[in-house]
Amino acid sequence: MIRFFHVSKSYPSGSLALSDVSFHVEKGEMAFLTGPSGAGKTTLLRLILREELPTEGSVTINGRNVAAMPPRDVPYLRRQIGVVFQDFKLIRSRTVMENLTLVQEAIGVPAASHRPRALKVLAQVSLQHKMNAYPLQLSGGEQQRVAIARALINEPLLLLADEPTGNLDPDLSEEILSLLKEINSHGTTVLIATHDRELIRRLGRRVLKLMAGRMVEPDAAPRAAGATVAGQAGSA
Amino acid sequence: MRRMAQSTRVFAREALIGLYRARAMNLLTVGIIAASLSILGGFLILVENFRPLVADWNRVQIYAYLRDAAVEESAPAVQDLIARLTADPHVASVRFVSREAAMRLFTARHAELAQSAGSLGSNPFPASLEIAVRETRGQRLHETGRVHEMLTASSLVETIQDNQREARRLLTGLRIASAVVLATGGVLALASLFIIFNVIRLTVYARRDEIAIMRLVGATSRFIRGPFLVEGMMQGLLGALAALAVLYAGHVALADYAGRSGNTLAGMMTGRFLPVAGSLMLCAGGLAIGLAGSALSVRRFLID
Repeated sequence: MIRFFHVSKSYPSGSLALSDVSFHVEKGEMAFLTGPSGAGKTTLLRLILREELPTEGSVTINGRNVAAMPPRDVPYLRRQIGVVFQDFKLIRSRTVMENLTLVQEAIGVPAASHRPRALKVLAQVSLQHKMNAYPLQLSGGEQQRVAIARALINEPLLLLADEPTGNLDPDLSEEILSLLKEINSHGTTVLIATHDRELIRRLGRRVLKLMAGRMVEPDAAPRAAGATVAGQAGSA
Repeated sequence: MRRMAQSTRVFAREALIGLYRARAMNLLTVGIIAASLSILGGFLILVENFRPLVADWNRVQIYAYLRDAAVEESAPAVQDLIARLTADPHVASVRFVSREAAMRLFTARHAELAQSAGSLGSNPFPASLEIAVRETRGQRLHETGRVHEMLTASSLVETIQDNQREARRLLTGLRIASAVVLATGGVLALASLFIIFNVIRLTVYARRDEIAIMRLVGATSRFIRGPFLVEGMMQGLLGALAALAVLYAGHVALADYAGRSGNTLAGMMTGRFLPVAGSLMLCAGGLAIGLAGSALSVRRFLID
């Protein structure tokens, strides 16, 4: 699903965000991307979303080299990817239902399907009863569940979560992780960027570790029983 | 088709939300557009009402006053002169005004002086030829010169007068006034465009998080830009409609004043309101200003 092949990313200022990174995340896999602040996690996610272009190497998502993709195709790439952020990024002036509707309008879902689809994903995150609430009327955990619902609305092949529990207490973090696990169990590939070691230890999935822009332990995390199969780095 | 209708609905809704959110600023924008379009629209109304008059001024008339004796003694020679003038390709028409007709015309136009004219005992007005020169822009002076030559050469003609100097003076004045009005309107239209540019820039800034989210979920550039363009167009159209309302109110008030006071100029200015084509032109102008301002802003500040 995700394949980085000798990817480097440097900025005009001269700073090197990623250096010769190669790894592969298979379809249906759930993996963690970890490393200290400034290690290059966010840059890596931005490369997947084609918010950035690699300076060297290639990034392939679902078989397509995103660096070579014409700009007009980028929105269609992003429609296959759901994204969840640490700060939720919900539109505060709109209700939960309006947030979900606007996304569907943006990706061209027919109007008749807006409500049923929104209710379906809200059911997945157990928030149907909050559909008329505004984001600021919700708890942090609820806001993150709405963000996950938004990420799921287009039934993405890949879900990226950038520090999804960073703003939440341990109980809420657990709740969000369970939700991400459940989403993964339905076949969606999930890549979670986090530096929460406890979280990684508990889930026991494959870990991609970045350190100063380099992949240092591409496949070295302890594997818990029943974990999904992890691909070898650069094996695709 | 269905998708386009859906997008249009979304653009319109989002644009209305945008207009409502920054209503004070948008009201100011609409007001400035209305002011600039009112000036341009007012000019169009004046053009509409003064067009027949201007056309009249624009036509050079030559008056050739005939010797009394010539008319009385040599009618065929007068007819011959009329025929020669009419045959000239630069002459549009030749009208013979007899002494009696000139007297009638005078008494009809100046009723208050009719008695004085009658007390003279004999008709003081000479017979004349009123010659209208055919309108051919740029060559009028030369053509008038040729007709002048023909008239001067004729022994029937006593004096020649034309309205060329007056017409030219009036037209020059009118041209200067038009240029000033159009330049003012143009400057205000540019100011409106600049204001829309900045208002949309602020809207883009205020909605930057929303825009970032839309991009990440896979909205196309067209979908992201659409509401801002529609918002600019709505501002322009509202400005044009406000200008039309102001102009109409002004037209009605001036017509009322003209009716009560008998002021000729006010009466002339309120003969007709802006015709449908002119009104549509004003609306199209508003839309164009709005679209141009927002398009420039979106192009500058909504970088993919």
